[in-house]
Amino acid sequence: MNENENNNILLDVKNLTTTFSTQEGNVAAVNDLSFQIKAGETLGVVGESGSGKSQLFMSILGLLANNGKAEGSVKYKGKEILNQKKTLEEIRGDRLSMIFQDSMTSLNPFVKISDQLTEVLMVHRGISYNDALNEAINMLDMVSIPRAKTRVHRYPHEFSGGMRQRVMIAMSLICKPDLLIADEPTTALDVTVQAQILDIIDNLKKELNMAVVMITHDLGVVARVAENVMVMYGGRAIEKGTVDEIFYTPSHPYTAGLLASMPRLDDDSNKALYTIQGSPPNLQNLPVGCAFSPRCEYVMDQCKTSVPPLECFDVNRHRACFLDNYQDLIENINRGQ
Amino acid sequence: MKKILEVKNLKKHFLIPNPKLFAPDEALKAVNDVTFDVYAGETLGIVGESGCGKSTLGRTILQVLKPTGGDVIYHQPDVDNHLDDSINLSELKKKDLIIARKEMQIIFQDPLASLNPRMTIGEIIGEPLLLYRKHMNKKEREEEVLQWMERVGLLRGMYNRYPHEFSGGQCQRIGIARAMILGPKIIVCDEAVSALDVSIQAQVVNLLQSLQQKFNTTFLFISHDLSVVRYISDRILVLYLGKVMEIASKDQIYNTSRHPYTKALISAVPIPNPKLERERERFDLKGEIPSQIHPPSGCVFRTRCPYADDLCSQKTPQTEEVEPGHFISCHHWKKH
Repeated sequence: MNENENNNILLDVKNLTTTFSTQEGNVAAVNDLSFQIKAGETLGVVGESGSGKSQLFMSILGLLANNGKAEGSVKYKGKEILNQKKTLEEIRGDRLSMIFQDSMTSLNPFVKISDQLTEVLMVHRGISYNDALNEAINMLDMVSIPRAKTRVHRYPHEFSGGMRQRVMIAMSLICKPDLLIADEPTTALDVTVQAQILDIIDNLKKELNMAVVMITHDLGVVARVAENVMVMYGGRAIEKGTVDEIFYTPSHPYTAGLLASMPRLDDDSNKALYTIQGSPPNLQNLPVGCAFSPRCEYVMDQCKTSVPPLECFDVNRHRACFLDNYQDLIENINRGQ
Repeated sequence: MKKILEVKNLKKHFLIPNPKLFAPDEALKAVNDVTFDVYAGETLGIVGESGCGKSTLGRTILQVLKPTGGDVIYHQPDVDNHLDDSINLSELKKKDLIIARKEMQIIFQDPLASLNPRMTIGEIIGEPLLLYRKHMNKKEREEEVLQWMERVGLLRGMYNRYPHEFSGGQCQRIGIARAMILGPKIIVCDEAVSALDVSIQAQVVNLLQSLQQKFNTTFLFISHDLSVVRYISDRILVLYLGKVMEIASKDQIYNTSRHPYTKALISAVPIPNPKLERERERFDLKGEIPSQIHPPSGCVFRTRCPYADDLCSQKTPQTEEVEPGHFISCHHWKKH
């Protein structure tokens, strides 16, 4: 890798492992995960519940619950930030910020929007309340909240779900971060509002040249916004590639199965949905070997004993699977039905 | 096809206390003058944004909520043709309603919350039998429950377990078995697969479809997920602020919709196909659903409609049949 490309890397995650100690023993939510995010890139992180997709980014931002422990390395612009409390406090909310799924529980119900929005700027930029308030009103305008000047002085409960999610976006973008981590930002919203919110994120991303991580279980949202995709299962990344590669030539049986099991709006053939048998694994007792092996129709002996490593097999294309013949997984699935 | 339900001018208004002292209470018109038919054995999808009244509609049809006005007429499918087979559900006394209820059931969104945590799943699934099949003894009940557990993909050995031991997908299977055990003619699925992971959702959708084919059950499938609705439904009803916008077969809705709201709703759904997503033309809606207490005058959709004019604010559009089986409430359906 040359110097120039190195400079372009915003976040460099290496061998990140997150474990929670619980009464029933240690639970590994994230297992030995490595990836990079370049400036201005949009990365979609896909996975079902319990795949570790949220805990991965909570670990990076140092927001784990008390019983959680993250190990490995996370470098932001070359500087180590994993478990660095002081450094994280400086950059979190300023250079790296996060939007959570549930906007009502992420906003403080007792504090006016104006105070919640200006606090970020006053802490990170050290500017006066009045300057910060002007900035906050501008930001609310940018996320298309009507009558921002008066509404900025209201409390969270006076906004609808879609409007609150806009407030959350405004709050996380007010310092013009390099990286926005959006954890299921539109899952609780109606499709029409979801379309508006995705447009807003898209426009702001272009305007601020910010990188975006879109954590979601909705493959439609990923297809719409992402450039690159990482698929997670059982706390590991099992496949990485560009959005076209993942959607048109998936190389892992889980990815292919997931794509085939989605009812699609553009499909008017009435054939039965493909189903992946069984249910997502319990992180508390992951199967030995590949976590997907109990549900995989291509399972081999090898899969039940050892964990397939995530290997690069094409330019920036990674997969963690022992199956050699993966070129036409999608066709095989369609033929099988 | 034979009609199984006729919903006529159905209304459900909730009274909201007026914040002003001594002022009369205000009505929230959750379902406001809704008329449609349901045919035996079909799946009717009911879609709309949150707050459009789709859940209230489902519950009012089943008389879980007492309608403010209008009729729900149920045609018993097993009665001979020359006899009068219709029952007006909204006029039934409580005692008769209890009898009629066994023919219609509901499956809820939150699989775990809708199961009593202190009952074993055998008790949960078998409870309807206690009420409606009093002649059955314990052994017969248990056999019936076990048979249904197998049909929905649960193991016999799970009979004595409690709901918290099951995953979301399995809880939904329990809910389906409980709803199906009396052999109901109509099932309202209120966001029945919305809380499930993609891979589990496909399993439950396929299960619902195979049960429907086997028992010829009629489904009212309420969902905000237009992709699932397209997959599972025969016909679709689009609801907005308690009013019907469009009713048609699913192909008419998805390919030749004539209502601007339906078009906007469909174009807002992201499709898991990146190339298509990049090229797709969008028809974005501005703003959000207005207050249900003070809905817009005339056509309720006009505040977000790109084609709205004076006529729309003055006159409420009537529902017209623009081609066979395709109903629209819009003054300007010819223009777009």
